[in-house]
Amino acid sequence: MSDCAIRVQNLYRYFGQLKAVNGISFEIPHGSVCGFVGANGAGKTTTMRILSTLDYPTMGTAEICGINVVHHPDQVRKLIGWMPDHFGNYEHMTVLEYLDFYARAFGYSGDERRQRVQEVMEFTDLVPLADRFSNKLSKGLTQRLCLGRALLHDPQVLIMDEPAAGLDPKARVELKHLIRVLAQEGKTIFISSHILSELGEMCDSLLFVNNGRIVHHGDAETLRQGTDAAGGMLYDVQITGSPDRLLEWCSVNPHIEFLEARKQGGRVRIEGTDLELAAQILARMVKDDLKVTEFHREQRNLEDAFIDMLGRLDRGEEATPSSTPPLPPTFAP
Amino acid sequence: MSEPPSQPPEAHAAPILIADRLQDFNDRLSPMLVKELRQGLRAKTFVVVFLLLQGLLGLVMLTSIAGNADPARAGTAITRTVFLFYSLALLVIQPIRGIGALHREIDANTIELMVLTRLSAWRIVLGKWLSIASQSALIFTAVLPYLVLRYWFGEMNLVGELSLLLLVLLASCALTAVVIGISAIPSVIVRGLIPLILLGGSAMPLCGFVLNRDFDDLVAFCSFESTGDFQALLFSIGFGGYMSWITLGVGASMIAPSAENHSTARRLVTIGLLVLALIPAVFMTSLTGADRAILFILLIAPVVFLSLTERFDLLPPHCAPFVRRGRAGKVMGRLLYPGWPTAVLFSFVVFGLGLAIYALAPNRNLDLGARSVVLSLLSSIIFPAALLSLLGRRIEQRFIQSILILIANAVVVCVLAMIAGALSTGQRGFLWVFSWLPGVGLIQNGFPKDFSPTSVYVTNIGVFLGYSLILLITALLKFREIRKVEASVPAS
Repeated sequence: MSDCAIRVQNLYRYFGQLKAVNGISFEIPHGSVCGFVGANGAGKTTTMRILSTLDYPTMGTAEICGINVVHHPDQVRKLIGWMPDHFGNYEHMTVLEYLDFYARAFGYSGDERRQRVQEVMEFTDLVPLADRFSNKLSKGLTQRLCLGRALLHDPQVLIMDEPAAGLDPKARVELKHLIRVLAQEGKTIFISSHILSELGEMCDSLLFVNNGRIVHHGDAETLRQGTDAAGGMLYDVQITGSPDRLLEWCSVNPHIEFLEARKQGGRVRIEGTDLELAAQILARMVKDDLKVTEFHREQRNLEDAFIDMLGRLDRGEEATPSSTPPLPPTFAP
Repeated sequence: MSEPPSQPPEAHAAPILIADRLQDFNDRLSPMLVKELRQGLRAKTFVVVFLLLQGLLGLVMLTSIAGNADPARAGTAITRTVFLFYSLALLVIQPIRGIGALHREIDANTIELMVLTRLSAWRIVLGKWLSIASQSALIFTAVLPYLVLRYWFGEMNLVGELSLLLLVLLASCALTAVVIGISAIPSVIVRGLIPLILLGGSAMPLCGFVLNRDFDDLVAFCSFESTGDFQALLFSIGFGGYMSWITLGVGASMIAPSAENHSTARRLVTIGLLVLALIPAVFMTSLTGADRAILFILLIAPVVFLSLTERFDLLPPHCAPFVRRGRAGKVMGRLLYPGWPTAVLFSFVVFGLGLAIYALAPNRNLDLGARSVVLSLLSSIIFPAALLSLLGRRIEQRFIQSILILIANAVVVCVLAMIAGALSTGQRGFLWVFSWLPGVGLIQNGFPKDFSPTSVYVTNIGVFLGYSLILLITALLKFREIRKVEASVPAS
């Protein structure tokens, strides 16, 4: 078995003049949950469709558990569960019959088929809705049904395109819970969403895509603690006494800037991303008898981080220091 | 130590699982058929048609008995009424249920969910067709008791009427196949227009037969009293089956994922059928040259047209089975890979086989006019592809564009024919200006005083060769891409 659940190398997909995916490369290890983030039209759905064997790349390779999606689509389909961003349900078909149809379509028969349907219905908590027509379900229940369908053949990798879109808060929490349980069971989950805060909570890593290119691949924590728009680190420093003392201290010390006063202390910015330098400055603060009671690095929300990142890209800078370096070029199919 | 408290009796029973109820359809049935039957048998269109038909037939039976003193006349009235409603139900309503069958799934994004299972696109389409066909068969069996009752009224051609009933069912199945096959076409005009023409064209004449005296002749024809009738019927059934297979294949290839190849099998079957047809065509002296030409065109026209409308999206999985067979495999691939460039070579091979049949046949009695007709028809088949090739740019909907070009060409030819018909001898020379349009040769053939058969024939050869050359050049330019894809096929 391959060491990666998903491996994409220099993937391109052009639709005429439109470069939907423009040379992206990334790897997702087994058993991890990876969030795929980007604006509309950034290339998320196209990438996911290629990985699901529903589309094919103009150039580059994509593998699921080491199997090339273009060369062996039938083998890949056995390994993946696909949840599209939008789909319809059938008229005159109950939830139970819907899952039974897909269980038959996945090749299950007899007791095994009934057992799989039962397990999935229990996992997704659809048993009480077994006789409800599938096209009469709410959006949240429909998503649960779709997740159940995707899990029927017990896939190793789940690819979910905007599963939380249009869900109410309760349904979102339920979906998040199901995804967490699946991750604990060792499934690899590749999930796209616009709601970054939610992705941050459930994903081991985040993959940011912009204009068909990967602009960041790392964990949410790194991103939250990343640099601000001007490339510095923000700290909240609390001292006893007037904030003016902190302002005064900052004005005579290099590499630090006082941003705003707070009730006790203030907000400062340390230049660059060098943690060693930050540690030295904070230590000096204590040494100079500023009477520091607390300092902590500010965490940005992911939305701000994403906007910062796009801003940097617009200015022609690198998205983040932790961005994944591009892999050497290869060609396939 | 005290004994554990005894459990309530229901705790001993095995838990009742909700999924245990899923035993209504056997595992051996196609999943698609099970799904469609579950949905279809609940659909109002089926339930209403089925119950209405039963009610109407019962009512007609009772009123015929009550209103007619002569049992034979009552029997005839029953037969005609049964056939009228039965034909309408099977030739109009049932096929109409297939309109949008695949498009609804495409719209709802459910096709993609299905193709990711073990269901192939072909099994999806076949399941949809089987479901409507089996519901039509249910209507057929529901009507049978009325014919059995009618038998007791006397003067009934039992074999003829039962055969006709069965033939209507077969025709319904073939029409349903065509409607379902084209239901994946995105254009609502093409998707709706073709079934409308087909259903109108099949149901109206039959209803006309039923309502007038020709009905008895139709029943007599279906009783197979002459060998010719039986052969014609067999040929019709065979051709209906062939067309059903082809049109269902159109639907399958439209919904299939890119890596699925439906074209190679279609082309191989056509070549196989042509080779099979070669044997009787050579040895059967009763066949005339015109018979052979008609058979040839009916056999090849749908597949050649479809192949030339295929998009050129060649992928390594398409080539792999051929590339692994070495050089010979790659040569075969030039004929059988999906996509219009290889379809051009395939078409030439098929035309060559047609020529071989003609050359080997004992009685090559095709006059120049008939040859012009054959060339005009062949040019019509390749004309849309040649025109699209000339346009050069990448065309996403080749199939629809080709159909529209075909329809437009037919309309122009019809208009020219009407104009030519309204003019007198000596005024029809303007048709030479349009002789590059396939089909104009057919009009010219109809006016031998204005157009000599030799000049029309030579022009038709020129038109056919011209379009062939355009196709060949544009196809050969694409072969570089084929080599590139072949090179990317992994060794194992």
